[in-house]
Amino acid sequence: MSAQPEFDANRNLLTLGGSQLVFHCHHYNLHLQRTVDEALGADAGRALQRSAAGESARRMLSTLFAGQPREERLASASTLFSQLGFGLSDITSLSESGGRVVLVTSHYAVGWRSKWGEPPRAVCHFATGYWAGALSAATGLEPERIVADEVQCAAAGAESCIIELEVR
Amino acid sequence: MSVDELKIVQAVSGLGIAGNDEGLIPAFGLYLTKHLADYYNRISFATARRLEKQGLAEDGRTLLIEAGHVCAFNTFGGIMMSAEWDAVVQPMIQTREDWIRGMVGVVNAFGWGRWSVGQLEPNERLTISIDDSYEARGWIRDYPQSDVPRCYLASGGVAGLMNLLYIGDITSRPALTEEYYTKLFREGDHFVAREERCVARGDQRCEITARRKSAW
Repeated sequence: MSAQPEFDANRNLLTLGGSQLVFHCHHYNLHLQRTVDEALGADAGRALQRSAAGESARRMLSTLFAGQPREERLASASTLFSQLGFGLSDITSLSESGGRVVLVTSHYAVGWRSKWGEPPRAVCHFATGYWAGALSAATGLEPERIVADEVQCAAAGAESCIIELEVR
Repeated sequence: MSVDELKIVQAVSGLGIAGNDEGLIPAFGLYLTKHLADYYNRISFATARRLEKQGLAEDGRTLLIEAGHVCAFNTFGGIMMSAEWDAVVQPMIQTREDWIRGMVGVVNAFGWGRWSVGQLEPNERLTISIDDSYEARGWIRDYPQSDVPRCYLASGGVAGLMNLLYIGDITSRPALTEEYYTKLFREGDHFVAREERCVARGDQRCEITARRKSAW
């Protein structure tokens, strides 16, 4: 799978798998996350961000996975997650029927702690949605059949972030 | 004009910015991501629309533009004080206004669309035109034509450029602290941006102007 974004120098657009990529830093990412959480309420904000991450990741990965052997897809999603700067994911406990992803590092957890210290709850909403979208794209299952939750978060003091994924 | 935007875009896009062994991208004193534009658009527009339904349209707009201010302050500010800036952009700078032209060149390697400096009156006014704004593109793909402009991040960014240069003084390499942010974006007669044309609203291109708060 080619995971190299293409830069269109005429329009200044960066694309990967037909999806547009944009550079942004942890200050913007975390501030926007907190803005959404505060505007909508923590639960609704988290749900929106997970859903948006799942939808956008699934769209990109479904294109990238086309023609790729099924058994390689989750590893590709992990490699891409790192290349894009979202963190280092250990997927040894993840299969097509679900499991867990351990984020050894997480952009959102590292960023939150560096900006504001320890949060009251898990903050890796994007990563949680990304992995739900990746599992959906890898298996072809409808996104509604995949439930993902971040059960511990390094930003909140845990050793690592853990995302559990269940296929219904 | 001394700033060679194409050279800047080529230099920045050629840096090969990608995750390190930890899957993170530390650069310019920040952690960067190459993120999905769809994600930002979905969460920003959903939040704006929810608040609009509650009669809080202006509050939603203010909050999302504020996120753009934070972006400009930290990202633009960090870059303008970085070794990469010193190596690539600084040698081209001859005037204070070249700092803006140089930063716009860097922005044009971010994948945000094509930013062009229009009217630039030192310490008074800046107009930036944007072709292929990712925010406007995202809006017109997913929603009907908007009654209001939708480039929140870009609006905050344009105001941020002026505040970094003329309310503060990024050329003196200040510490990017909370106090400094407050000085630049919340106190006195700082710059405020308005998006006067937006593709999401049916215009040909997006156009954002920053002026002093008292000038609007």
